[in-house]
Amino acid sequence: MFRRYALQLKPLTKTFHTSIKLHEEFENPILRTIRILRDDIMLRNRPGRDEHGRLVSRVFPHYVDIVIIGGGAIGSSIAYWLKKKTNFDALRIVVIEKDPTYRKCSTTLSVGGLRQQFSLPENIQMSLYGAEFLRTIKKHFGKEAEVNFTPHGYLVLASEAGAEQLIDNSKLQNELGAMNRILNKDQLKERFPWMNVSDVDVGCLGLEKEGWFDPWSLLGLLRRGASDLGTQYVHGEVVEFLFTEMNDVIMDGVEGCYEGTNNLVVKLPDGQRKNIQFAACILAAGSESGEVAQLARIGTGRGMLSVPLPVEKRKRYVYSFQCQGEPPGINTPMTIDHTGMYFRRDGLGGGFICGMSPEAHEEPSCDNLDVDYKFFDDRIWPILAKRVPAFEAVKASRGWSGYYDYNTYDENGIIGPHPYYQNMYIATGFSGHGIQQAPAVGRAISELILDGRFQTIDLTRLGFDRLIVDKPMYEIGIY
Amino acid sequence: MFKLRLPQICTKFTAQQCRFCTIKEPKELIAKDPKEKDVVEVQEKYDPKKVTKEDMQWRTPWHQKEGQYYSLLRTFYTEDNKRSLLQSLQTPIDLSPSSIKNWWAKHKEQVEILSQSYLPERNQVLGNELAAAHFIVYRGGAVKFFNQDKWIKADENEEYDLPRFYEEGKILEAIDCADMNIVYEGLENLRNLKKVQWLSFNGCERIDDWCIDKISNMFSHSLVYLDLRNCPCITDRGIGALYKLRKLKILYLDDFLRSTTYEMTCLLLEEANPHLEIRSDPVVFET
Ligand SMILES: Cc1cc2nc3c(=O)[nH]c(=O)nc-3n(C[C@H](O)[C@H](O)[C@H](O)COP(=O)(O)OP(=O)(O)OC[C@H]3O[C@@H](n4cnc5c(N)ncnc54)[C@H](O)[C@@H]3O)c2cc1C
Repeated sequence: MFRRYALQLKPLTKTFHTSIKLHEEFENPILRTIRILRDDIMLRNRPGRDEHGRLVSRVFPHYVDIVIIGGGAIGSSIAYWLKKKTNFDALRIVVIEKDPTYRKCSTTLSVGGLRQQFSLPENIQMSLYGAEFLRTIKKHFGKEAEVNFTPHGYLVLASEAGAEQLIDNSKLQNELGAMNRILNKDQLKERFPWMNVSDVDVGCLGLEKEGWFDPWSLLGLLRRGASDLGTQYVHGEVVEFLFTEMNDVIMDGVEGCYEGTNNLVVKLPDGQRKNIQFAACILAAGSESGEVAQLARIGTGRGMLSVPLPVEKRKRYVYSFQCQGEPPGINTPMTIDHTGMYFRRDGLGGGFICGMSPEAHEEPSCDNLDVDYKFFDDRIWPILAKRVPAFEAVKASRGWSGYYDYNTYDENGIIGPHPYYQNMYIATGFSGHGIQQAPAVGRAISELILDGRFQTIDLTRLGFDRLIVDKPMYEIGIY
Repeated sequence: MFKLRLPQICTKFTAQQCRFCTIKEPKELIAKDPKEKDVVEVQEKYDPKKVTKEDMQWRTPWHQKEGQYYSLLRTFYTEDNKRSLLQSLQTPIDLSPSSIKNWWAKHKEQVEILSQSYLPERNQVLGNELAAAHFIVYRGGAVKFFNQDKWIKADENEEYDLPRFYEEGKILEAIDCADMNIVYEGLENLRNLKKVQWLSFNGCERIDDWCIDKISNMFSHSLVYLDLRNCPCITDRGIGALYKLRKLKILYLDDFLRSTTYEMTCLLLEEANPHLEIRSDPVVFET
């Protein structure tokens, strides 16, 4: 990453110049020394444990090596991997999370599906690694670690129009190590007698490493794993980045003076604002990444900075319903209809959950997380009832909604360095398949930072650069 | 605000390659919504699979430019920054008994996984059936071929009688892995067997839901009898995945009454497959 600079000789006075306005009150250096010494004597600077038994530092970190914005699955996984690949005191890593209850973050509100049925090789490989990570989770987080993986498979259906595509994808997936099989109409009928296959041409049934798990547990484990290895979580919201002009940096594609940032402002829950100086920053704020990126002038500046981070909130509903009569039995994988509607078993007593992405023109507003039950009645129910005759009389009994970290450009994750800032990395925009990829993304970002390039799965094509050269990486398997 | 000149330094890229170079209206540049996306796809027949890694590089890396001395110093420079070496150097040496014990356990586990991993050469020489037989018998299990009455098992001296090269007509009928220390990676050796009908993992403590996931796929076309007694790691979620074994007739479990979800799963399995009979050892109550 240093290749982008060249040092030029500058008058010495220049190096003393900083234009950063610190947000904190000035503290008398003598008083400050006394305060720190007093805290040291009273052992207040030692890390302690919070009520959940997690290791927490009690000192606000003003100077850190790597700051991660967003402590969801992706952010925590990055922290975990960075720490795992170094040792306890090698790197000072801080994760800034504005809501430690995770009430609104997509990780906890997701459906937790794990599948390899994608069309892009990178996505398939990342999910394969996700499966591998979940399988060996006890090796990472100890004997008690459990994510309740239910290995029930995915069944993706295609109508005549999508059949060829589905078969092609399945071929690619099998080449890369996934296990699935194409079933024709008769085979589908025979295997899944509860299904109406009149308008289905083929289906692709995942045979191994597909199913669903508990995203809460995964997030908890990643977070605990990262803290145990020495990551500090800060409860606060990133509200501002501070910039410095760096005349001595010359970079391709930058006109005029390069303005870098290594300082950000965090608003603590009590309204206090504090500065954090960092060497590298990772943007993993999920559905709010677009807004955080704007704070860093991504999308508001000139040149490379005029390209925004195309990640938006998109509200997605999940409904649960109870099926009376004869519900589809245990031989019900997670089924994705060719219309994009999905459903799966939830428990064993005839409970199911389902969902569907709305069309572009009917996108609900993202101001709150209210659930619109009309969407179930108008859009989902007709498809459900048609696909599974036993669902004819079902009603949505409960529902919740969550925000997709939706990448409006090509519905795929953006993973890698930002081309302008030499110390900013992005890992967001997963549009509905982020949790299963969290382990792989964490590992990839840690490789970028610590090893200098991708070592395991090459994700160069999913970098931010694709927005600049305008080469979208469309993924067909988005639901 | 958007009309900017191509910076002087970037001479490499052409108009299609870089969004900065073409002076388009910002609206076009900002992400399109999915509806427009389809239109674009049809027009250009754009295929993301054809995009290569090199397409993403729109700047010449600094060291590859004319006149940089990097190439001269190349001999002294490695691409690898030896992170793992640095990490091990920085890690304090811990010689407490518990950490040594941990390290030894981990090491043993790694060796076990390595020794059980799938070897393509073995399968090339022996064929899938015999390779699987060797794999199992060598590790203390037993196998039985079709048209043969006796089980093949290693004797006290760990010797056994199995052909050393591929032989036609040797097809496995039954595999008994009882009390073997078989791991997930080792199961790969049992893939692509033609007609295994009888399989027992009785007492394999390492068999968990992920293994069941694999087993239920690998033997879905033939398995009739499956014994999963004394496998403490299997939960009702794994048992549920057995719906993929469509010919299964007898399934042995420890005690399917151990929890309601477990019992429920068993009932649902029997419902989905009318030929299936789930048996379990009688529960012994301590008096
Ligand atoms: C209904 C639904 C179903 C889904 N189903 C699946 C599925 O089946 N399989 C799958 O793999 N994925 C699924 N997903 C997608 C998956 O949930 C996301 O892709 C993934 O959780 C993204 O993780 P994240 O860590 O990037 O984001 P998040 O989990 O949203 O975490 C981001 C965090 O950043 C914090 N933050 C934001 N802004 C700031 C700031 N300024 N300062 C400090 N902190 C900030 C937020 O509080 C949040 O906690 C689903 C999503 C939804 C909504």
